[in-house]
Amino acid sequence: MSIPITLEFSGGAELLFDRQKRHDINLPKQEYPWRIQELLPWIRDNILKERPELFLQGNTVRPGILVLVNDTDWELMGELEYNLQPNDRIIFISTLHGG
Amino acid sequence: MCSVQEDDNDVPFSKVRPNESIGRTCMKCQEKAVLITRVNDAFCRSCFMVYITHKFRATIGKTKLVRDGEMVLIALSGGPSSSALLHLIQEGLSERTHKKLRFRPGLIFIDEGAAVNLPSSERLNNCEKMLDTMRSTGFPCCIKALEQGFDIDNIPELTSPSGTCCPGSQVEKDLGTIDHDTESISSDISTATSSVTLNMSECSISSSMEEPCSNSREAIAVSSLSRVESSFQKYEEAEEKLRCLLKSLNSVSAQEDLIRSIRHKILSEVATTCGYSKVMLGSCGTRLAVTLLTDMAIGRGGQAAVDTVFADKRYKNLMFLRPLREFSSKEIGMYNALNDVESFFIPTLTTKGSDGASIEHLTEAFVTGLQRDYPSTVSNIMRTGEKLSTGAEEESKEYCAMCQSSLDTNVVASSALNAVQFSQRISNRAADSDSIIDKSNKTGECCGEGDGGCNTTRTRVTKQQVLASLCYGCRLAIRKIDDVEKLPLYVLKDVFWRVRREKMKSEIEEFLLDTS
Ligand SMILES: [Zn+2]
Ligand SMILES: [Zn+2]
Repeated sequence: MSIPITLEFSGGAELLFDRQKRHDINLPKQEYPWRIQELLPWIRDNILKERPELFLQGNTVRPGILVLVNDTDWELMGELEYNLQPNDRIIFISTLHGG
Repeated sequence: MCSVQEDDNDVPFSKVRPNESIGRTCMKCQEKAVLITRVNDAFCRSCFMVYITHKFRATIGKTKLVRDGEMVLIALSGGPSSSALLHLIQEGLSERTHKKLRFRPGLIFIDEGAAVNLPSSERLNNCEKMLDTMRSTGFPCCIKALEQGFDIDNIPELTSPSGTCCPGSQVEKDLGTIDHDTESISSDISTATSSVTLNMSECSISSSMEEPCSNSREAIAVSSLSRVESSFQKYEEAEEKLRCLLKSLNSVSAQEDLIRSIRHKILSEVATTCGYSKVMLGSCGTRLAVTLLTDMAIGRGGQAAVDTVFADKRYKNLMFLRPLREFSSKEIGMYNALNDVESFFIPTLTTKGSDGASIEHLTEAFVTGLQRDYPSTVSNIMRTGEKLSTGAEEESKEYCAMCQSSLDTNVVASSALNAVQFSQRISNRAADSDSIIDKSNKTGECCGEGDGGCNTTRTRVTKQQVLASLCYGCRLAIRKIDDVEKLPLYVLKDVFWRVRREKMKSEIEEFLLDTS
């Protein structure tokens, strides 16, 4: 069973995604639960259009990009360790000047 | 050491491990938390809002600088921080508590699209969105374009603070829509009800005004958007000047620096001509930490303090306030997300650029990295600004013709031979009046003194004369410029005015020496 989730990019982060802010996606079924840790490379490989270094740094998001899981700071959700649930809404907000 | 607030942690704690924060409750009320801020404080949604509004009012209130009923111009960029600022002000004005805000805001949006070559359709779109947002507040508002800075031509010292344009009065006014210098009509102020319609537009940048009050309320109310559009077409010349100037600077850092100074010039012009005594900027603490470190790196160490303190008093009769300086960019981002505050994305010169695209951009990458891994360090950097003082601010009576900071060049650069060379060159030239004012090079504009009706003509100034009137940071920014005539007119006129004053002074001295 695949996992449907919604991704949103704003504050300039959308520029790296063809200026599209909202992406409704289906994560393919896999043996282990999907964590944000796996979501990030999936985003890079599937919907990111350019300059991955402006979105990711190492295995996590670039500093200055806020991550909200269902309107809650991902720092309270285990960050990379968070297990994605069906219909989760993950928001990436760039707080960097000029995106 | 840095005990501005008693509960501050000065020791830079490293961030807590993520799995220790899962499912934490609010530190105030034990509800489920929605975010972690500061060093490691978890807040629920409502306690976070209380925390933010309290901090905002405390920042404004504790200095007692903003008086009841005072007119305060709010500078909006459309970006997240200034959008949050507007939201906080609206909330603060509407509340019935005794902590209610009591000043009278006016709004200004500066469209900087020309500097980053934004397509005009996008600029128009931004202006329309901002106009909608601003109108919905019911506050007086206006729109300016960055390139309009090139149409400002009065010398600060000579501007009369006359009340020709007074948004405070409750009558309809349409000020200075006619600007015979630039033929530009830009923006309008209108309240949401449009029963009171004001237009502060060009009064700030035209050297003379015809028909200061022409009561054309309908004209504004009917087609404000089309007038915004028409204004785009009419600034082509100024836009070209702006592009030309930016192109002639040697680095993105210098360009960013120049844009910042033109933006401040426009804000100060609009504020003083329209009767505002304070301007509020949306810069948050993270941004100010970046500014502070950038200032040091680009030779503006002497201004790092005024660029980051709560109240920037460098302009005469005008104060720039930074009420969001206690907020991190994360707090602003969370505030906007949780309140559905809309902001739009504004590209800058370094958008999509690598970290090293400019000094400011690289500094930002450094500061945001610090903010993530050592959350308390950023406010420590920002607060350092309060403690920096060169002592020159009070002593110096000379101001930079470009950024209005006190001239630090006597203090800072005098060790370098440069300053000496400058003064030598200038005194050599002063002896030869033909080279200081080259009569063959008239540019055809008024000298800028008085009402603009005199027949004195401003003449070209040399690069040395310009540099001598600038602070160290501005000198560095424009040192590679090929032709100083590309600079905004207000800078050139200011320089010209100084050169003339110097010349008169030396003539008088000669006279005194001769007779003694
Ligand atoms: Zn709470
Ligand atoms: Zn300067």
